[in-house]
Amino acid sequence: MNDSHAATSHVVLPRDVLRAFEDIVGPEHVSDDPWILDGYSFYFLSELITALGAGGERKFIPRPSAVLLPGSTEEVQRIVRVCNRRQIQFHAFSTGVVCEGGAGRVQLDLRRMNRIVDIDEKNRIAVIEPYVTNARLFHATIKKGLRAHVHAAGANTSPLASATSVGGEGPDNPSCGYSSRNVLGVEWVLPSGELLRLGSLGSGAGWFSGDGPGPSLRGVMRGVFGAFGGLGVFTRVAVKLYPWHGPPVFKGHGLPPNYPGEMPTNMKAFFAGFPTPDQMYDAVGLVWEEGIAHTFNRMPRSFLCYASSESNQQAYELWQSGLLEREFSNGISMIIAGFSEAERAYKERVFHEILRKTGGKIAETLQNDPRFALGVLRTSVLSDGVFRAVSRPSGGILEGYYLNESVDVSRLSHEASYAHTKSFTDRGICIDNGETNWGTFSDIAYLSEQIPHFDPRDEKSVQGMLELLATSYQKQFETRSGAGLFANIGALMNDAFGPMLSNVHIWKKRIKRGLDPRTACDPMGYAFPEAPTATEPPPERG
Amino acid sequence: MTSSVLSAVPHGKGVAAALEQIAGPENVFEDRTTLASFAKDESFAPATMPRAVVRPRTAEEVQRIVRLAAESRTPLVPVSSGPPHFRGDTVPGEGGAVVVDLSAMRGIPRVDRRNRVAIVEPGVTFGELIPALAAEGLAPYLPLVPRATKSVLASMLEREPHTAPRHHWDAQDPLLCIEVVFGTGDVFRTGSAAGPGTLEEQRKAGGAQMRGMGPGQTDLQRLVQGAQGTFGIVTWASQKCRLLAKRREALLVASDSLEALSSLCREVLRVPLGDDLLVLRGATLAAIVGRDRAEIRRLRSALPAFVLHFGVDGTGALPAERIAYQIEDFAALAQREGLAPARVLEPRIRAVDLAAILSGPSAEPYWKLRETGACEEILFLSTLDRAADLFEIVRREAEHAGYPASRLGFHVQPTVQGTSCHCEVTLPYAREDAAQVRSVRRCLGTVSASLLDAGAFFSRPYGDAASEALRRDAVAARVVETLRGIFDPHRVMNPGKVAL
Repeated sequence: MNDSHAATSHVVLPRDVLRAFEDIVGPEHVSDDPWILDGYSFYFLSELITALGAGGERKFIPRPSAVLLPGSTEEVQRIVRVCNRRQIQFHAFSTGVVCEGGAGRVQLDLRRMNRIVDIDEKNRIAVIEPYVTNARLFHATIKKGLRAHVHAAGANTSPLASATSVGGEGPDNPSCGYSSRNVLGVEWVLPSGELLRLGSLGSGAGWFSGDGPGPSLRGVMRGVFGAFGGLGVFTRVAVKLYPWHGPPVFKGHGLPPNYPGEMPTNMKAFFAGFPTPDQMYDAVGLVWEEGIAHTFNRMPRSFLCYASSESNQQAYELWQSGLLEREFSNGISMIIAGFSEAERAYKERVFHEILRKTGGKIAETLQNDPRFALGVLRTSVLSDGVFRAVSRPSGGILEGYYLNESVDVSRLSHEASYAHTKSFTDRGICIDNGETNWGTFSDIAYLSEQIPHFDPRDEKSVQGMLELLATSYQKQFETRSGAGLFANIGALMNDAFGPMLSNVHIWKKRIKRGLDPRTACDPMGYAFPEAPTATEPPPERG
Repeated sequence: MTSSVLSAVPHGKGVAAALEQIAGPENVFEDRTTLASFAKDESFAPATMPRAVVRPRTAEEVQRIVRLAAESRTPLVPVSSGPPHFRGDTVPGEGGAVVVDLSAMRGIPRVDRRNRVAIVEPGVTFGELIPALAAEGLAPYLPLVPRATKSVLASMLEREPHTAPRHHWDAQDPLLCIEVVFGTGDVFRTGSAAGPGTLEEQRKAGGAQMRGMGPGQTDLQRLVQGAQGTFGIVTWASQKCRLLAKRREALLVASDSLEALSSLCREVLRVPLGDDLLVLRGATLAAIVGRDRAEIRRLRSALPAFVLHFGVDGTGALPAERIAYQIEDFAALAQREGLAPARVLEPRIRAVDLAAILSGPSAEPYWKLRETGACEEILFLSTLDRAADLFEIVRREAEHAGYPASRLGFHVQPTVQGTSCHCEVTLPYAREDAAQVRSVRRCLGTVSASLLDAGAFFSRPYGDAASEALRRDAVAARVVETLRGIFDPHRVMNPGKVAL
């Protein structure tokens, strides 16, 4: 196996292979029509991916050879076995922020697997299939006084994908955890086609645990990030649910997707600004330690503009008004929730005590204008995601500095990361919207992402962002403040960044080889397998 | 990989001499007394004499020992805790093994109040960690009254649940990052400790080795947890700590119905309220608080069938208020369930006294051994709504096996914020009483089998239970074996454990 990406030309699958797939899923769920396949040649920010030389051109990565729509775990297994027998690579996706097609590969579009299999109200567990969205799960669970974590990718994306295969941050991390830490039982079709049921599920005991017997195989399933489809197909997952003491239904009052909603009576939004970043980060650490936040955002001013407006024009006018500069410099926003009035009152008093200690001040105008509270409610709680709001200004965002550790890592990098990006802003590569360090915390880490906006339609902006990305990563490695987001992910990054991360790339390549000896599963999102030794026999046919 | 360790040893001297070169002759033991002390434990695991015991003092020595073992195909048995050991995992599974006694690695290189993180080496016990943390205003998350010699790090690697389920977000907790020497001899750091940079460089950049995920797309600390040393030897670990309580309040709720108390646990964690929360059978509570055999027996006959413990720490900016609203809300919940919380339970068990016991290691002798001198355990996971049914199976099968139900210990520890629970059966017995030994042996077989059939999950199985658990999950067993081949290709790490 070499590390070069597949060719961009369309590869036609043999007719008998297509027939084998049709026999499994039915002819209506198989297509190799080019006009259908082009719909699967997309990738989030493909302009950047293609500019890196990963095949394809600008908006399109190479089209796959066929797309299949399996309807069950068993069908997925049978497809994967055919792929092993015929030496065809496959790649599965759920709601599809990233499709990762590729010439010669078959794409498994899991949209037919869209069931909420179970909501175990007593034990606070939901079992879901790949195409269940955050919005569906959220609204199904709040009827039962529960809620699932909603990752920041947004309402229409898959919580299964977030739990098993991708990332997991979101403004509700303080109360609902990071996605990988919410995983319980998992149904996992291995690259060989075997069905692995993690934890209690494999012992026939139900969905409540994903660990054991003995070593926890969650340890190879994913880490901070998942394998992005590089280690098989996840067909069902059980996730932990959290308490919801708000209303069982939210009524929309506006035009989609900007429902104003109503702030639940057990919740209250807060906005505060601080004279300096140091004071703000001290307050972040204390809010985290006290455990008072239901949602939390270390919120750049421009992001609050996007979150509390319905158009770029409104956001621009708010930005220009100077209100946020006066009240929300070094700002944080959070929602406090309580089971009882006593709980909410206690948390509110603690927050005021933190402000007193750290020199923070409530942003009075924001506090008294409901559009801000509702904006935060919408983006942080109501599964509307921050992603859409933040992406709106230019259509292109990317994490430069990605810090995922203590508050102090972000504090010490705060000025440097801003200055670094500003040099690109000054060159017209990024939008000039001030500092863009967004942050929140889960129970074990403070996550901050520096999120500059660029224009994916502008070649100069695209090339500039690649430069910003590379130099940000270099700076982060040099200062030991962490590893850039994409330095952690995918086959193309392993050899460059793995040696700086305890040689993790070597173990990934061995794991890939061990679990996928025929490289039937697209390796791009995870790792190319370690090369076999000269004396080893080839793997048996699947 | 490495240059040969054995090649540096004079011809014919072998493994023991190589170990002496690595750790120093004073840290290699081949005398019969020392070897015999590692040849068996309190369990029914068959005794096997190791060929040597080596006591490394540094991670580098551990790495050299593992490389030597890989090269010479010598089985290694890592042992962190001091005796008595209970679960057979520290007894060599094969002849010719070398025990790697990590008790001399007792450093606590970092206690970080700001980030609530501490780093411990394998030999550090809870008794040693507690004062070190208290000096910085922190406390460890403790499993249920661990024995004084229990290694903090081993407890985390065994996925022993702690007593504060609200803070138990994940089965991995409170473990964060580890440094491990895999069976290949390679050193690997997990989580944010993986890099970039050395730990010191990371700290200068503000890092605290607190992100217990990664690096990147792996969580190999999860693979090492529950593996009973079959993947490698961990040389340090960082862990989450809790704030040291400035004051503490606790309540007890007694009931004859485990179902009622389990249901209350669910409701409490659904708010969520409090910090410590667990349910003890009266016999277990008696064993924990009773100071001697006579008191244990007296308490056992006087205590109610089950007791729920609810504890709240006064921490943070407003400690008294933190306690007040939670005690009030808890009392309202309990009353809604028809239960009566109390600060004192007859015969004079005070909730705050139990809270104090729960915040430290066991007094000597260890509470599981205090009444009869020996004890077996059965550990499994389930959900809170099934705990009462599974206890009935335990009680029934124990009685069939001739074990006295009155002495049977049982407790339910909600885990992962109440989405599951750890259940622990304790079977105290007198080793010198052949009839008791027979009944306990029968219990281990029949109770475990019945529990498995009823849907109990043996997440961290030991001995025969491990074979049975992995037999029922053949695909997982194959995958674990594949991974074992990657991380320990010469099968030298604690062979024979976890059915590997």
